[in-house]
Amino acid sequence: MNIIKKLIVIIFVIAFLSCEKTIDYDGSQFGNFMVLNANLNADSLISCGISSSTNLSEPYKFIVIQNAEVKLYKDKEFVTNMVFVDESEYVPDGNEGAQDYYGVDYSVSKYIPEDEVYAIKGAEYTIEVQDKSFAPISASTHILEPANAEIVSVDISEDEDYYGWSSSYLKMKIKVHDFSGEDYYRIVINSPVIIYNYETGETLLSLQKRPYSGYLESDDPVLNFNKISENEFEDVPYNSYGIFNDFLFDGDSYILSLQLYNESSGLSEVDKQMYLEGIEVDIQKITKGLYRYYKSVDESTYYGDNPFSEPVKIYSNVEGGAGILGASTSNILKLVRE
Amino acid sequence: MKTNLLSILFLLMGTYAFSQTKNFTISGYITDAGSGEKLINANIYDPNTYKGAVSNVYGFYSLSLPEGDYKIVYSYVGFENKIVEINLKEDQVLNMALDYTKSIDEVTVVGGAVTNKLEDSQMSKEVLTMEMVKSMPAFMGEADVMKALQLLPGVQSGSESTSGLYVRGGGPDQNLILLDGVPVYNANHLFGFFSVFNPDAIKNVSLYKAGFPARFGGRLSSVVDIRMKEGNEKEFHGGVQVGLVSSKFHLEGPIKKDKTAFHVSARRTYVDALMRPFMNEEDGVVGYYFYDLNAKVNHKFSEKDRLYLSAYAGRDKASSAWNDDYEYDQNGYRYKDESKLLWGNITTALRWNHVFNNKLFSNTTVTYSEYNFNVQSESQTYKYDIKTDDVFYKYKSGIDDMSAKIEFDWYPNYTNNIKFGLNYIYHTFTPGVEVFRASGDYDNIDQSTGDDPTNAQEINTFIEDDIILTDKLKANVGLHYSMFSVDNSFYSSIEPRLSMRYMATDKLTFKVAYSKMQQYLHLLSNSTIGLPTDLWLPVTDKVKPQISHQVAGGVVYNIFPGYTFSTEGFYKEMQNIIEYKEGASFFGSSINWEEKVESGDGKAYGVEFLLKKERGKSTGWLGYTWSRSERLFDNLNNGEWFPARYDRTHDISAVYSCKVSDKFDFGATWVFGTGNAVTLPTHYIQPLPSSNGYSDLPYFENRNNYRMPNYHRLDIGCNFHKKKKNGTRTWNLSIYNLYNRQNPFYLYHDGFSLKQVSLFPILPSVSYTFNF
Repeated sequence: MNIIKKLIVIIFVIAFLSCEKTIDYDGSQFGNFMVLNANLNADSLISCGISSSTNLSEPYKFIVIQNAEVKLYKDKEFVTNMVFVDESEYVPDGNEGAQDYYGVDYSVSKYIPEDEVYAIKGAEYTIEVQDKSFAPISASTHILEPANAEIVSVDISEDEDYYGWSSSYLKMKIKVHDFSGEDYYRIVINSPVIIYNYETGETLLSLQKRPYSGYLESDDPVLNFNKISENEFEDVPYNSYGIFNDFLFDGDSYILSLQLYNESSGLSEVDKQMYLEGIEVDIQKITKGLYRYYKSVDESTYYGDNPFSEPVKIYSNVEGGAGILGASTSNILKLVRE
Repeated sequence: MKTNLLSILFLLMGTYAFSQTKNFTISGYITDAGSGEKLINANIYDPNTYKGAVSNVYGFYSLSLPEGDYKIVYSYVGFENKIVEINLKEDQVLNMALDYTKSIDEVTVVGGAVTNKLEDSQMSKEVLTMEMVKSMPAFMGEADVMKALQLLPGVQSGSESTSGLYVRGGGPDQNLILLDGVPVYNANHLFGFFSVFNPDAIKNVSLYKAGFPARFGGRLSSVVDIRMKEGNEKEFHGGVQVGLVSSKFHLEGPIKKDKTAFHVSARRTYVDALMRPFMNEEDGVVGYYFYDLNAKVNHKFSEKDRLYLSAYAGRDKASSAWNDDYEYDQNGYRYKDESKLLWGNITTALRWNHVFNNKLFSNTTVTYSEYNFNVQSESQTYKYDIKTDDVFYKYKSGIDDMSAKIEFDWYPNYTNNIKFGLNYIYHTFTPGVEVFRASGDYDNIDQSTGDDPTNAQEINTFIEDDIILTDKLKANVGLHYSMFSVDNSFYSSIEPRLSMRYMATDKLTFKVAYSKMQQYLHLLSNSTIGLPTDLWLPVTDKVKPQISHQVAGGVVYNIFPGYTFSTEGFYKEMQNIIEYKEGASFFGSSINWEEKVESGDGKAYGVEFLLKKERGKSTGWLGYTWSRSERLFDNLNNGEWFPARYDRTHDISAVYSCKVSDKFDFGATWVFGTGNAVTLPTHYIQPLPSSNGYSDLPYFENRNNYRMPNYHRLDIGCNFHKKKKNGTRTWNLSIYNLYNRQNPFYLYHDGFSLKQVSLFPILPSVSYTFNF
């Protein structure tokens, strides 16, 4: 199809005297609104981020809303107010050091309950936000039971990478035992950090964990938005969040196949073993809303550059504004049995 | 519900049984005396009783009147009336030839007689003559039927200068475009900037927007019924035209005078030839052209039998070729690349008109229609003239139909004109098939992908009756029944149709109409412009047929002779229409197409106003439409209504044409339309923090949430005619977009500002025509 596209573009250019100009964007009809973002992890402290949208006609600048009135409800019962904190030590979901280049470090500012509140499995949580400059917003989510999964096999072997070079890969099979009904999952790999010292040329292993930074590769249809035939893989965005659902194995067990680049190949044998022992495979059960949000983010980014694609709306379950209030429950599997 | 409708239908049709008196029938053909061309919708009436009839699309008429003496008037717009005194005491055959009017004041260049529109039970119908189309300013010197239709209320174009039709909130796939009764699946040349219809070959165009007669079916929103010229039975005529981008000719004449006639016309663009001297193979050669061929032959075997054979073939070709010589690793290489796109239609119709008697006329037609699209690309690499790599790619898609149809016109008495018929169509859908072959470094790949052709069968049958119920009340009632079978799916539909007029005075008519339509084909298209990759596909188990119900009501008022004002309101509901899912795009491949679309509902409603001046030196119209077109899909836009892409709240068109003298005429058109609805991000939002590196996300709340700037444009044109020894020469000067308005073609936001891409600035053009 690329040939067709290319030829059509060529003909357009040749045949027509097209011209381009900047025009006024009438953004006055679209006021700004609050954006609520939170992924409530089961058995973890509850927190959320609240910011303002930026109208397309305004200069880029995200505004973290610091003085909003935020209420937390559990199973529709008021629990506590939430207050703004700016914890520079706080690293949400592994986004360490993500200094916002717009001048606002939104990743280290959040609202937390006045009293420590942990997300409890089976409970439904609602967050309501009011601010004098914006329309009020609210969203709800519920905390799920963990996924039932196990690692079936792990293999380290050489394979060709995208460019045809031989590389070492960690290949694993993970068995997921699914219950009947719609279920949504996410797979997150946490691994020790390998630090390369450019001055000494040494490679060091830090046992501090962080989400695996490379590509999680898989030909498994389940990890490719259930694309079964080879042709369906054409023009499909990369599943950067590692999300999947049980559409193809509802109520059954399913063995996922995936591989990731073996970062430890340059380490000593001792460090290699430590690295492998340090890898955690987090099979998360996530809410449908969170799944749709992650999927829409990947698709919006992927298709955004294609003028022939229908635009993708970022999914939101926040009434009166945008963003996502989702939940995830972890089941952490060790790559190597201790 | 169905039982009630059937009861009403047969009650109305039964009225003729109670009006049987001693009647005799006058019947025959009405023709142009100069050429022998059949005149469609010519009037035949008794001026004392106002009883009359209208000739059908083959020029045949039948009028039953009680025994007595009559002065029968034959009239047709732009022609001199003829009055014939008849002592009617037996059935008579009267073939009537009318002369073109010589008085310039009486010239009517806008199609559709005032009296027809007042008296006709049909509503939401507009007729255009080629004289009117040719008198309008022409884009790049090319008069265009489809662009002329876009100037009518309720009809709009998709985007800048394209010839696609969007009728009353419907999509471009919902128009049944018939060329001599044969469906044309892709009516576009060059992405829709020109239509495939060469005006030299066309006699008459009728557009139906609602109240569809039962003889039509298969599309939701409109029927464009285009009739080709039959050929001059009397003498040879022809013409040539040379324009900036194309040239054309037409020739017509008798093969055997008054028996056999032909008409042939051809058109070709020559942008490729003009560009050729400025290109060489080293830098790359690109080219584009299209051509059309229209031909028609008819032969009169007897007064009762006539055979017509008509054909159309059109093709677009775009190509590119380039060579590259380079050195690598101290070796000399040459890379050659050739690519081409080919697409086009072929239609043929063999038609037999037979007059059984003066009350029964039949038309039997066998047709073939084909649309295909091909892409071919080939590249080779040579190392010192030895081929090292060879890559070949081919893609093809298309649709072809074979059909047989028989229709009858039965005139049992003065009050009833019954049409009934049966149509069988065998569809063959060829979805995208790709062939890829490679040798050399590619390890000898030879593979084909794509779906096998799909065959489908469609049967349509109909009955309709144009009934005079009282002196003031006339109705066209009918039923259309269709069946469609493809793979393991079978669908059928009973579609009631009604169009009724109440003639309150001889100047004022009220009309109402209802129609149900069902469509078994879907068009996969990637934009509002008519790209050749657009692919027709049949319904499936999952993607159901599209259905519409439309009601319309209106008024026609003849202000004074030559001036007509009409207004119509409409409400249309649509079911099972398709829209692309978020992120989906289409480029010729049908693979998994059902997974890329959503099925949902639509509605369109609006009011249209049309003030028309149809007689005199100056003619034209002023049209205004207020309308809304919305869509509802469970899985799009949060399940809420959103404006259709071609929703256009306000649409204005002004058309003016003035024939100053036999030597000079000029015309102007001005159009205004609310900007198209597009989906544009309105905000950036902060993402949920994660490791994915997304820093900001473009966000919009609703699909088609933003309006492009309004569209408006003024075109002017004039013709200078001069009689020469052997004919008439005409210089045409046209200016498209006179005040150089930069109209939006599409919008995008580059992260800093909103950009608008426009296509055509002010474009003057000139053409030379010689007709003999």
